[in-house]
Amino acid sequence: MNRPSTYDQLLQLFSALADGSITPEQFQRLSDLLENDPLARRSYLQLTYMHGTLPELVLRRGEEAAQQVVQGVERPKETPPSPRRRYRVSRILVAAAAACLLGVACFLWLVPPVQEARLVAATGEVELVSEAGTLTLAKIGQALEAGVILETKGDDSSATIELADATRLTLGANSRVRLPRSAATQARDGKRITVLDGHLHAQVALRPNSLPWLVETPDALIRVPGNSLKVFVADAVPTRVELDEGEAEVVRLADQETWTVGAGSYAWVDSRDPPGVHPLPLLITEPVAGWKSAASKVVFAPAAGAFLAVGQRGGMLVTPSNGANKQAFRWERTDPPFAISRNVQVFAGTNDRIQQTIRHLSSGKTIVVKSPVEGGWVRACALSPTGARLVTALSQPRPESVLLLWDTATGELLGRQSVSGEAVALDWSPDERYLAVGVLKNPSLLLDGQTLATVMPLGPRVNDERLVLFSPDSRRLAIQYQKQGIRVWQGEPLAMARTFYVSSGEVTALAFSPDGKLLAGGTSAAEVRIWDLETGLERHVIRGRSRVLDISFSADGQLLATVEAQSSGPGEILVKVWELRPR
Amino acid sequence: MNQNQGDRYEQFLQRYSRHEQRLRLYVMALVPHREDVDDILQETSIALWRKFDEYQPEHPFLNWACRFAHFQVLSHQKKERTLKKHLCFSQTLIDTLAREQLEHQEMLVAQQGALENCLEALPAPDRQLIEMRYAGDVTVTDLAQQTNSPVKHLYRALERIRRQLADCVQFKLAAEGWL
Repeated sequence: MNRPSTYDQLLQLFSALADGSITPEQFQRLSDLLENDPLARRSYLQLTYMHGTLPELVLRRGEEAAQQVVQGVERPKETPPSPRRRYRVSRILVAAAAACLLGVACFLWLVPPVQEARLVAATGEVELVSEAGTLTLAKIGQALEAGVILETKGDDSSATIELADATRLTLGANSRVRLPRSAATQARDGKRITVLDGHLHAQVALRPNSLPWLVETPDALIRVPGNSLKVFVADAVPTRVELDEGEAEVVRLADQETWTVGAGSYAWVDSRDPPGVHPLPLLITEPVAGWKSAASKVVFAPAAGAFLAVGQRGGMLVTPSNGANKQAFRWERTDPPFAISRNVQVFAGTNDRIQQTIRHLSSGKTIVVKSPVEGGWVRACALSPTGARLVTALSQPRPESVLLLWDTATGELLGRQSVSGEAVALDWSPDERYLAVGVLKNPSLLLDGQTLATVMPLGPRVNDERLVLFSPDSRRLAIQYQKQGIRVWQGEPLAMARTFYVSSGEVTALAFSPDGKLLAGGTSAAEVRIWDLETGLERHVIRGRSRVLDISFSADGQLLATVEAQSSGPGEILVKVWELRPR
Repeated sequence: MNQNQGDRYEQFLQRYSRHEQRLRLYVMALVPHREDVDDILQETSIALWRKFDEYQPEHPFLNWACRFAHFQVLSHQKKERTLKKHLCFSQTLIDTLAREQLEHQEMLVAQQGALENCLEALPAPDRQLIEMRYAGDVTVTDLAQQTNSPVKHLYRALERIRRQLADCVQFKLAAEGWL
């Protein structure tokens, strides 16, 4: 199998190195082997990559096993295609292309290649795979031949193509589509676009006499007479079709069942019976806050019947019923991390990395507390539900954090506690029994809400958990983990119950509905996904324009506010309120 | 940090996060000591952010980042040699391994998919041992205490299982035409 003659010795030495038992003499022997033999170096690289990949693989297996034990079979994880899958797909494509080569060659001999499309805009890496399997990087303005596969790579990638009939196709991040084949094929099959992965947004040109558009996915065939269509395809998740205008006919390939998706609605193409067509969440107001901020928070203020968005320069009330918004507060610049008490009475921000400014919103009273810990800086903070206490997590150069507990009325330091690792997220349970601590490079923790004594670590493994949030009834705890996941713990004592995944970007915000039945997750890819915690099914997807900074439900759970950072505009904060129509 | 810088930093973080694991593997192959790997990655990420304005998006981020990591490895190893704290490869070997890693990049990525299947195919006791060893990255000494087994026995067992995994991966790669 093309291995060095010294493979046995190499494996023994590598194993000693990996397990930390290698002696200087053995290390010298390993170095000599590697310096003198290219095959030994290749085997060493293979062994190193295996050794370095195993923790991740084992972790993933452990999570899946834990989910099955706690929850039984649940929805499979949405992940970007694995390298192996990409490899296999590319091999299949190459094989398919090779098999068809003769036919294609004959066809091309009869009909010269038609340049059907042009790449008009792109961000990130965009690759082209020709029908013969050749891979090239795409350039803006480049003409794209019929039948080519276009692939966007990376969470910030996208591509816009204009076809010969003025139809515009926009490909989201990490997506792959095959463009319509040549004109002669179109005459036989219609203009057929195949979505292999990801997100396609088609602005179809209205030309009554032209051929109909057909969008093909692994689950469905979608006939588009002429309108705007969005199609989402991901591994192990049914195709989702959304329409802003017009209508489309969707055929489920599994049983040829057909239904119509109208304007302002969406449908999953899966085995749910009957196939569901549901209204899209409706954007009802979209004011811009009058300040710039790299971070911001939003909460529903029941007394005002409005959402309150706060940031570095102040707070703004957004009334959903009439879309009115007004500046509620204006203050001297305060930096993140921020915290707002659940009763919307107290706000905390940070200054100079070591001070916390506590503002009592109704009385206007302001208290500044300063960390007594030398060399520490504020990484996270949380207010108790009534706003009576503030907990601050301080990072230090050494690998532990200090939690400081403050009285918000007097500014008195009530207590302190050390935790292993870097504490970066905090949330108090609404009943004040617990304080959850999200930790980098160490397991996250559940602490006693009064004494800050450790109650239990939240899992045995390190997951870089940057967001933690209790449900309103204190029975559930949502924790972001491994960037794209949200793990929900529930019960007494807390046990891991279910994991939800976003398909692109990483999780940046969490919110529970007031009745605790829905969980919303905002992402860096400008999406909010809302799941039903009982069934595990996704209930809504909201798509914005840029990174979601925070989200909040209204008191009746019918509205959801999102805060986005405007990346392309003047850098101000955009507060959007969405009506979640019943499904 | 102003808004533009903030957005730029977000772009950087997205790219870096996406390639962090591959970068870690790259550094691991050049640096035998685990703690050094973390330090070098930390230094590399800072250096990458400082130079991010010079990064050209049409080029693969990973290759760009690997060049920085290579430099950081050399600089780190130079310090280590002076301190004689940890074992180090020679600079020639580091350079060679750095170059050959990029040459074999596709095969090494393909190997990760094969490894998942091979791990699944291990006999249950062997798989359990690997899971215990790698789940929290515990030391063999800790593992010996947890399992009430002699340390030497565990070293031998882990070496045997690694051989099994490596053979299985090799077989799969050969079947897929990589070798």
